[in-house]
Amino acid sequence: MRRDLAVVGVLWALLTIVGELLAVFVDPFPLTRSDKGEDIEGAFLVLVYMAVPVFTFVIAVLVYSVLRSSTTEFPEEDGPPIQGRGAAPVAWLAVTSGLALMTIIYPGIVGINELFFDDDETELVVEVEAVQWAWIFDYPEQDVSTVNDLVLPLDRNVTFEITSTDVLHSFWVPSFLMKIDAVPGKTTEITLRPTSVGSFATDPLMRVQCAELCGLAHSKMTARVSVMEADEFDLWAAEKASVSTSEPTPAADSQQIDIVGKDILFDLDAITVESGRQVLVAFDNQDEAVPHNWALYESRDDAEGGEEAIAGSPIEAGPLIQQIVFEAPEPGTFFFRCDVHPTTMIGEFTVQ
Amino acid sequence: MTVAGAWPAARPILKGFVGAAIGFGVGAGIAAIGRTLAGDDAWSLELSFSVGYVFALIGWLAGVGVWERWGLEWIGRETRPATEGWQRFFAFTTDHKVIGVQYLVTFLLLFLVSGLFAMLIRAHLLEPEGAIFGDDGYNRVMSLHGIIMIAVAVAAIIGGFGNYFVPIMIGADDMAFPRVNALSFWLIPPVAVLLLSSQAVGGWDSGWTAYPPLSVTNASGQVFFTLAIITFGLSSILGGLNFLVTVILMRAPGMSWGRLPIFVWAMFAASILALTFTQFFAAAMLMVTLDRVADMSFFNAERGGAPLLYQHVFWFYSHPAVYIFVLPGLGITLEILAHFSRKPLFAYRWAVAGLLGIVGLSAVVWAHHMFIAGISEDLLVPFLVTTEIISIPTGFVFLSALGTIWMARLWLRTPMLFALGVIFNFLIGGITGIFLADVPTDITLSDTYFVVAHFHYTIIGGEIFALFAAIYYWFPKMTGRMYNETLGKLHFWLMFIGFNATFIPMFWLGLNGMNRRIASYTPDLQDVNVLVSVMGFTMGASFLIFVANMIWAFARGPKAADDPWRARTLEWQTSSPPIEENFPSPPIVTGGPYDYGVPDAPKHGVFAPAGASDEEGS
Repeated sequence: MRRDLAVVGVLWALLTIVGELLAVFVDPFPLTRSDKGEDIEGAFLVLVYMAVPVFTFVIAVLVYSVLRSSTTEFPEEDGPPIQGRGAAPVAWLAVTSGLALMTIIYPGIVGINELFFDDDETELVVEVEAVQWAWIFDYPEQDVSTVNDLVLPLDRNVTFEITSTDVLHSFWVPSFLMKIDAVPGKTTEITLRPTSVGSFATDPLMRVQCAELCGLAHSKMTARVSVMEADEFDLWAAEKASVSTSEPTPAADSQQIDIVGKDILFDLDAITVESGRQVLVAFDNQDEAVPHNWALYESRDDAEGGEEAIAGSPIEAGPLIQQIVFEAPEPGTFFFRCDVHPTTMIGEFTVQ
Repeated sequence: MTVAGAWPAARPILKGFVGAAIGFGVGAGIAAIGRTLAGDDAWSLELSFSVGYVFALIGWLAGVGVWERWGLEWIGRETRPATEGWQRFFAFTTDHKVIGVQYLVTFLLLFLVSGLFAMLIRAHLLEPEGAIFGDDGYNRVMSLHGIIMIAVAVAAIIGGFGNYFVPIMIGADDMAFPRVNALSFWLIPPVAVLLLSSQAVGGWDSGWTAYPPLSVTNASGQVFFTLAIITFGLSSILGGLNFLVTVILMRAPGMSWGRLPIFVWAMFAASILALTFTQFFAAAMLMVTLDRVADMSFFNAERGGAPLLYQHVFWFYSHPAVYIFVLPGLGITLEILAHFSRKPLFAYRWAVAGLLGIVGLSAVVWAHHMFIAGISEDLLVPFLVTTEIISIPTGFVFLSALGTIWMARLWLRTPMLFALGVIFNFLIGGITGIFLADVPTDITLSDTYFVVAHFHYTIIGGEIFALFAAIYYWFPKMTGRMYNETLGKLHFWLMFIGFNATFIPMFWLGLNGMNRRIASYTPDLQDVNVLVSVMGFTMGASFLIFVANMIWAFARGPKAADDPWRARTLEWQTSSPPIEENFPSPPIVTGGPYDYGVPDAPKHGVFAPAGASDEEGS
């Protein structure tokens, strides 16, 4: 028995060393890009370091027991009648209680205080509205509003004030490692500070992903995230704010297109106009309390790749009528959609 | 099985259908009258169906045998005799062994059907944009896979092996309430029919958790789901009650609590949970139903409702439910480890304390499913603490398992391989559970594939492996025939390797931005998803070997001895399969169930000579 204990002890030690080395050198997380995310990654690694010896202990006993003596024939002799009434269970209780207590204190309670009860001063507020199946971001201080496009400054504390207008959603940016549900009728909050510049174009984890099952297009309810230098962000915000105020007035000879949005569908899936004349799109959003808009893009790929729209209206909840006025581009085939419902409300826009 | 015998076999079920049809007409009629009086259309799918279903369920039960075998008594008439022969497996029968087989076969079929859904899910996820379904089809199949597997997890072991073996292992001749037991089983077919037929009215796309407001606004299949769950809950509650009374009151002379086989203890613990908590699940479902058909607005925030309320009520059952799944599995595992190590079960009392400790703590951990749901931040620490503490009693089970195989000569037959597999799998399930119990790590991991991997490790790893251990272990007792050992081992290795290679990469997927319940994913994750799918198919293929083995063994397997494992517990001291009264004469328990190698240990059970039992009692 003494010998067996010694062998298992050595096996355990070896497996633990291998396991801990793997834990140190193999980082399971891709690049983490927020301050809170770094806290979470740290907590994860601490738990891995603690889990390794527990895992290897059980494996060592299991593997050794099978290797030491096993048979496919009926074992004529019974094993030693060890009942387990001695000190072993008490020692086991002490060790497992100690481990549980450790995880409760750190990363548990310490981590909760870091993540939820810090006093970081908010430097930017982003109001997040989740709808089936899009993300609408409002920057109240900047007077900017975007859909499925979250732009953030580097190294500023951002507070997200999150709500939903229909069902449960969950606001999750994988590379920030932070997540909280969007709940109808209440506002949930997270605060974090982006710590590295990057965008969805190069890092698929730089996206807002709905993480709470929300029906049909749940898996596609994503928004591009980009983090830029703070001064670049200020420029972006200023430009966005100015764009949304200028509105051309319709000319008398403009070609008017009437299009209706109802039950999260357009009544037209193709529009044809003449080149060289002004176009007036009158978009009638008949869906009560459902936000829509009408936006024209070079192509579907452009729209989904985050390119600017050629023309478009702001996202507003119905019922209401919006007018979009623009000069018809050169002849060709274009793409229009509702930015909130890019999978269902789409169509082809032809210029002759 | 002749054609002549087919009519008596089909009769109860046909009568059940007729009863259901009449009941549905009555219920839908009542709904129509009510709606007409209120000035509405007579028919409204969800309301008419809900009321119709309640009466259809009563009609089904009455037709299938409750009336003939039970109800006639209430009006002072003789009940009809029990069905004999193989047809009894299709009838309302009170023999706990028949009911056990009914449960087991029903849930194995559901397991295979739902496993097929899992294969479809994995085939779909071979491509980032999804290879098979549209978004709606995916969400529906995923939801259906989830709830059917949950039902299998709740009832396959408890209903199957619990019914068959708890009475025998405690030396009783049946359950305490045999007719309630039959009723519990015959509540199950409507559940399966509802869940599958829901697809005809759009299915439902809210997963097995059915969170409102989505579950209040989606397709009408959601109502079929809620009615199915309420029915299933009723079955579960009646079963729990029956097991508790049976274990408390029906133990053979000498079967003290300290001599109970550990599987019976585990069933006892799981039954406390089933009896105590299931009504909360039913309540949550009832509230969703009422929100839909009666506009009660429990969960409608605009009208004063609270979406989060549902999650509290739902998880108040559904966290203890995972112990309803796993405790019987752990009980079987410890049972088999002791017999195939031919050693006493190590630290028996600690193992029992572990099972009961889990029961107690399971009531106060539910909100760990809601760390990111928007609950008060002051609730995070208390639920973190209780959840971490539950790892301590769970640890006792590991202590017992490891102590039992320590220094033993392990008999590596198929049941033992599956039991050892449980230790390995459940260890991974348990350790990854710590990451989800710890709030800081849970924030990023919740609702990702890390969670998917974790709960499949606990439920498949901890329970389904134990289910198969139990099938191989008790197959010779239930059928009197022996399965093929080579095929059994092949099944184990293919399933064990396929399972681990399927779910280990899912932990990585969760850390790398793949959230759960998605019909499409980012292209950078395709390679790993293809690996997961291929390994999933491997695991799926292992069940074909299992089915072939079972069919062959049932028809042609060699005759099994009464005690092929030379185990001490009572079920092995009677014939294979046992006679209707279980034992030729009532057993008397004189020693512990696992005293292998203990010098001069008395037998676990002895039998009074036939006819002498009356004198024993006096």
